[in-house]
Amino acid sequence: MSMKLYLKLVSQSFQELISYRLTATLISIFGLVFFTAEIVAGLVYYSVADNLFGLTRIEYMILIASATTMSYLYQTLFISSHENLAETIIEGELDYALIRPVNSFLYYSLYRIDFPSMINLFISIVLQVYLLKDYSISFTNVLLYICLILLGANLIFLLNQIIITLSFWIEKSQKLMAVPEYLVDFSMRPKNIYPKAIRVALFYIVPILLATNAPVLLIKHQLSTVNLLVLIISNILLACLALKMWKEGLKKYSSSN
Amino acid sequence: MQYVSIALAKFYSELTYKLNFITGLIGDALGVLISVFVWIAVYETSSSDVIAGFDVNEMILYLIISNLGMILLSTDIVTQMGSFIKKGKLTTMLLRPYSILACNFSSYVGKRLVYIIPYLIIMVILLPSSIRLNYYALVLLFGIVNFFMFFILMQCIGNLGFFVIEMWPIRPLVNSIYLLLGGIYFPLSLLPENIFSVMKLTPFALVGYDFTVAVQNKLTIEVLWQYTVISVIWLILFYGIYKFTFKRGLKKYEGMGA
Repeated sequence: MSMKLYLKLVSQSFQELISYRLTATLISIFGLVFFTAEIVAGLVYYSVADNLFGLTRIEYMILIASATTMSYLYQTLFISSHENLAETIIEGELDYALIRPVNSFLYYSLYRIDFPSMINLFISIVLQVYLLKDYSISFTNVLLYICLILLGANLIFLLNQIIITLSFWIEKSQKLMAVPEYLVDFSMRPKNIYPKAIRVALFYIVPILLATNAPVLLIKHQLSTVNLLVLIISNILLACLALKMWKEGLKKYSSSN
Repeated sequence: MQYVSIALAKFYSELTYKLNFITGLIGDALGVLISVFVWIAVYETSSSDVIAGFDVNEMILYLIISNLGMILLSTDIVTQMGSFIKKGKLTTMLLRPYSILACNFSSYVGKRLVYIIPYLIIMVILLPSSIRLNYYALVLLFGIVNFFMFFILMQCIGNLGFFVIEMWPIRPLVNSIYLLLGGIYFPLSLLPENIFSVMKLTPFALVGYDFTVAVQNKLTIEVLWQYTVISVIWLILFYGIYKFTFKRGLKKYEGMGA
């Protein structure tokens, strides 16, 4: 898929934003309310003690802000495409993309940008910069921090993509589609609150807890090379799985359009 | 009778797609577990055994009941009217000899029935043994009023579908407000007194925090009566708003679908 085509899709997304102004406003407000709820909850937890779950108040807020940034980055780039993809597959409307001379996987992954989520993404980034201002972080670690956010957002994308691709085989699976969202919500908390078995599963099998906790672990100088390797390798493996499933799904796909 | 049939049809439909249903249950359970794990960790770290009048067991009970309540009072229906309007299905519904509100209510009850029964069983198991019968009856009345009040509130918000094309962002917005105002993450009594005294009277607090502490036998009969009356006042107010917005919406409705 060429950059020219992608920019055209971005332009169409922007035109939709202009057409659905109220919807866009509501999406931004919803993001803000959700973010506020998380911050208020954090303040309430830390009204009980100064150091919880092995994190200070600021570190906890960094965790929430970085995990939210990953989530909003995913939403900005991919959620609009994913929102409709399952229905498109089930209703046999993939044909329109399949006959075009583009990579169908990329076309459907990058079909739309969600501009309203970009506002929330911006807010979460600003909050992170504010929270990190008192830390002395080397340039290398700043780059690594950004890479961790990107890896986390990519992991959320891949988990969603894999689950949505199951629509080639399973009908009526709205709740199943929400599984990655459940996992992300579950992982937006410090790793120390979970029992060891859950921690291991979400650190080394589906490393979403590792992804969300990695930025704050980096700040605390507790991110190991093994952690980093697990994140990179899992991103690569899940990307291969997502592509493989898409190809197999297309073989299974049929429609009467 | 027709409303019972609608409710039963929805009930069976919920159970037909088992994978969907079980996945939903697992997702709901994860939501409860997050809060429970967080608060267990808070109690382990804190020097105090009692926080905001709750010891660790009471807090876990609080989180389970309030989170189960949120599952029971699902906000799914908030987008229902919008969908009927967008697809033009409302036209067919208007032609049928039934009340749309009653039809939506039976559909809601049917969909929630699969949760209502286990919820009531869990309630009975979890209720403190010292609870008095008249208190228990009043908690039940408070719960029923809340159920109606919350349904009408969702219908009021759902009527926005007459005026807004895309209704899907409304649901996460309502969920976020419910999380914040309903005391799902933490008991509202942990907030500063002046904020708490206002927040505990909102519809979300009545179905969330207030009902949960009522179940936990932490209210007096007088306060429970007050909350029930406030819930009835909200119910009447929302019903008035629903009728008004529905009438105004119908004037705008074109019935063509989109």
